[in-house]
Amino acid sequence: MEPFYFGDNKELFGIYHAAEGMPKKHAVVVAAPLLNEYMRAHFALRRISLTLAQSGFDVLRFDYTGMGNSKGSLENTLPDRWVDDISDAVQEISDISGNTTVSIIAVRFAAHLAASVTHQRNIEQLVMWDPILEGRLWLQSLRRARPMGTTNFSEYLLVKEREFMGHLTCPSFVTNIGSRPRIPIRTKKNYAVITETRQIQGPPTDVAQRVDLVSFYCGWEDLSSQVLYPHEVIDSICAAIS
Amino acid sequence: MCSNIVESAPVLLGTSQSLFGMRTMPQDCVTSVGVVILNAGLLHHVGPFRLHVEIANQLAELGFASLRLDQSGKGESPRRPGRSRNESLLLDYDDVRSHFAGLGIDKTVLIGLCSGADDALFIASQRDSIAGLILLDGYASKNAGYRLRYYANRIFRIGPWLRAIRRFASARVYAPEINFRDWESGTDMLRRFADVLDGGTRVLSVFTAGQNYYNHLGQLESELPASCNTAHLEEVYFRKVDHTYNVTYHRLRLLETIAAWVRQNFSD
Repeated sequence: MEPFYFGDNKELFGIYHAAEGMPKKHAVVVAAPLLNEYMRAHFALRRISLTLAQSGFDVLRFDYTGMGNSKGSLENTLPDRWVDDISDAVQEISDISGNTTVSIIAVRFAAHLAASVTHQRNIEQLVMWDPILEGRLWLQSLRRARPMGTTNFSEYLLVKEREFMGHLTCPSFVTNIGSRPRIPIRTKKNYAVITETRQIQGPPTDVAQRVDLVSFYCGWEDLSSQVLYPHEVIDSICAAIS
Repeated sequence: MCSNIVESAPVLLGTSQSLFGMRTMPQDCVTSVGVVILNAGLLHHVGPFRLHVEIANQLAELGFASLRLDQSGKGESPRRPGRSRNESLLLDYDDVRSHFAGLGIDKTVLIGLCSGADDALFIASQRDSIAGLILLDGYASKNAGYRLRYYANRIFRIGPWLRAIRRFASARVYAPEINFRDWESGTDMLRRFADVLDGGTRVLSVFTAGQNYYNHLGQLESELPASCNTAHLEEVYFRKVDHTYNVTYHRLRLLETIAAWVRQNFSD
């Protein structure tokens, strides 16, 4: 495991898992979900990365601008920046590994962001976990997000209109996200593992070429700190990449 | 007062270079105090709602170095095979201590939320070098005052009565309330707390509404042995704040509280 900062201004934090044994055909970028979902999915995404590296894939996990260990604050970050972050991560893993063919694992709204990247770069495969492919659907989800139990401190929100899941976003966040339409995925292969169908319009088979419906409650809209460890999702994603 | 220039870097500690931490340093200040931020439950070193990052950045602006640690078996750090949980805790701390010594830092303050607070208290009870503890929803014992307030808060509201009636009338068997914290007996925990305070460690203990064992300011101090030196214990109670500070405004209040306490106790 190699932690480091990358990008033009060394502002993005990433962790590189080098392939063990014979490298496979492509490298993998892990595009985590955003806001509170990032924290909850970290454990599972790390496990996926370790498993893929043991199977011979070069893997790069990273934190988006304004999140995790990356520089900046959410309040000063336009969502457009996150598309560039994924694109930068694809370039970085190509440079590190020598693999010019890259697949992306994307969770929740990162699937929409990654779909944009498939129009900028040659992406082998997009593997998605509970994908949200349209901005307004994510906004609806964020507005539904509520604390577990009876504690609700919404009266203390600094700027109610743009504080979501405990994070204060930039002034144009709502407009920016809300105006993002569904973008066609331009990859040879794409796959989705779905635990919740609330953010899908139409049948699940419209989401990707192959879809795996898994019975596991992620509770993405519960404003909780509960770490997710969905074995079935992890196995499904690793199998799809392999 | 230092400038706002702060440098963060990943570090791998220990002889096997596998214990992960994110070190944050002020660029133009010299500090003899290093702050270690432990894992909150199973969450990694970023903390709930990026809380640990915000604490580290604020401490750096005040001139203090910090390390957001992933303890063995959590976040990016692998487990220590063949070691008990407490053994791992102490070995992790010793690796951090060695790292700080290499930077000329000889005093340590530990910060922990929830199980992280319990870990911090345990480490402080076993090691001499801990100058301070910041415990977020750390240990406290329910006392008579707690129970009085607990029932008084419910006796004049219809909701709790209805729930109690439903439970009584229901054929379901309700499991006893689960305590997810790995606490020893109340006597042992309070003794540990007293020993840490009597040893000169300064303690800031912050409680929120997000736990089920504390409901009035002073509850912790009132349960400590009479002989305990509580001059360096500061208790704070945020009555309307969630356990993981899931509102930006509440995190800002916590940061202000921590900053004031650190300045008061550890500024040169």
